[in-house]
Amino acid sequence: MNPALRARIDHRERILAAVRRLLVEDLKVRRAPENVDPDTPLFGTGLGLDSVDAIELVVALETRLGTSLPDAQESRRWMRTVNTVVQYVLDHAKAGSAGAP
Amino acid sequence: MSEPDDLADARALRERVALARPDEIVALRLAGAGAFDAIDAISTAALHLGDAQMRPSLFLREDGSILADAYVCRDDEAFWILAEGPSAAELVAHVERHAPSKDLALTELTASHGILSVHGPYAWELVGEALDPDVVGMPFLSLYRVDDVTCFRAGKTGEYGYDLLVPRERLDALEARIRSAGEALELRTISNAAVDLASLENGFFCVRHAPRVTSPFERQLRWRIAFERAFVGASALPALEAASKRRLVHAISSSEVAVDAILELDGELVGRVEHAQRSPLLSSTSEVWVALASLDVALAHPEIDLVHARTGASLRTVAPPVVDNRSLYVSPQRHAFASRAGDEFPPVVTP
Repeated sequence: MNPALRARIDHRERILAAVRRLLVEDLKVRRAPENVDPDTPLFGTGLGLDSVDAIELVVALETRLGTSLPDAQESRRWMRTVNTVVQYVLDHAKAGSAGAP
Repeated sequence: MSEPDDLADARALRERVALARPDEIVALRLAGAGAFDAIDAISTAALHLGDAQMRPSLFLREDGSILADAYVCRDDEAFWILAEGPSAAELVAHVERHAPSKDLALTELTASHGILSVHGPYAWELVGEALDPDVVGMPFLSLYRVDDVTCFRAGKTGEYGYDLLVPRERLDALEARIRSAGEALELRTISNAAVDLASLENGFFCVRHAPRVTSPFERQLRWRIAFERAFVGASALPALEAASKRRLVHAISSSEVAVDAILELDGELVGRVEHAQRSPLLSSTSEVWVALASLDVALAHPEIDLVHARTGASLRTVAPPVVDNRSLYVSPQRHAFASRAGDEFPPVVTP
């Protein structure tokens, strides 16, 4: 694998790990982080989050990763799966702050 | 010029309301003192279900591979199973073989009942009109009985979805009533393949897609497994997880993609296509194929550009869903099909 791709995947995996931790620690999802697959749905089926959890998730993303989600309607597009949240963080977090420990 | 059938099916499901007659769902009803234990013994998901609640689960073989994609549902002291994958006979045999108690009244309803499925952002409006207005208020993952019809609110398309389990002698009459009420909502009868494609576009598990990939780990279905529980197949899971070196991910391509296509990255073989279908909805301006690719775990992330080893065609992995479901924005409390022209919704397909 070429170094640039390796670095991109490593960065993505750091954000994925941070989002998993956030789900388990802040939203009290009752499973080990490694048992949250990247394409797991967040609401309804999947992790079974609800509208209160959605607010918690927005707050936790801003607090932990410095990522502000947009208005409620736009947020619905991104709060679908673990991976769509990771993608949003990657697309919108300020360079250098996302994924910081 | 009229639109092709597959596009018309997709638009009905994604923008209005669509009716299908699924023929691969097996319905079982379990009653008696041993009913709970019978499902508990085979369900990967925990059965903390209130009355009329349902939950997605899996039934595994002893080796941990997926036997069935199942909903388990509680109905007072009895339970329902709606399952896809095994035949009715195979499912009944599986339940009976593993039931701890013989005090079990198991009814397989394939011969006596049929299923009508209604999908779409306005499915609630149609089912409320044709069956019972109270259906509109059903929570997601619940069931509701109207006379001898059992309505399950579930769906695997990302849109509102209702499966109606109907005695066969009433099936045609109810379908006629749905069609009649559906005229005002531009109802379209669609193929089961269109429902499956919608499931693929949303990233949901469909047993008919990538059937060779039977590991729940490779299929990213850990969320359906309560690992602390004992159930058929549980003891095989640690070894299966250790052996799962690949993960099934979604990819899109502007070229036709074939099942079994070998995928390369920088000249190295990294995976294989397990399922691929053209998406008529995404292909409005240029062709788009949606694929399930089994990739080395280290690479199984979105935004990886891969090459079909034989043809040189490119695929890019993505994070599903690949559509913006209209049902996310349509609310039974605020919207109606008749007044939809005055509503502003995001496009189903982002340009």
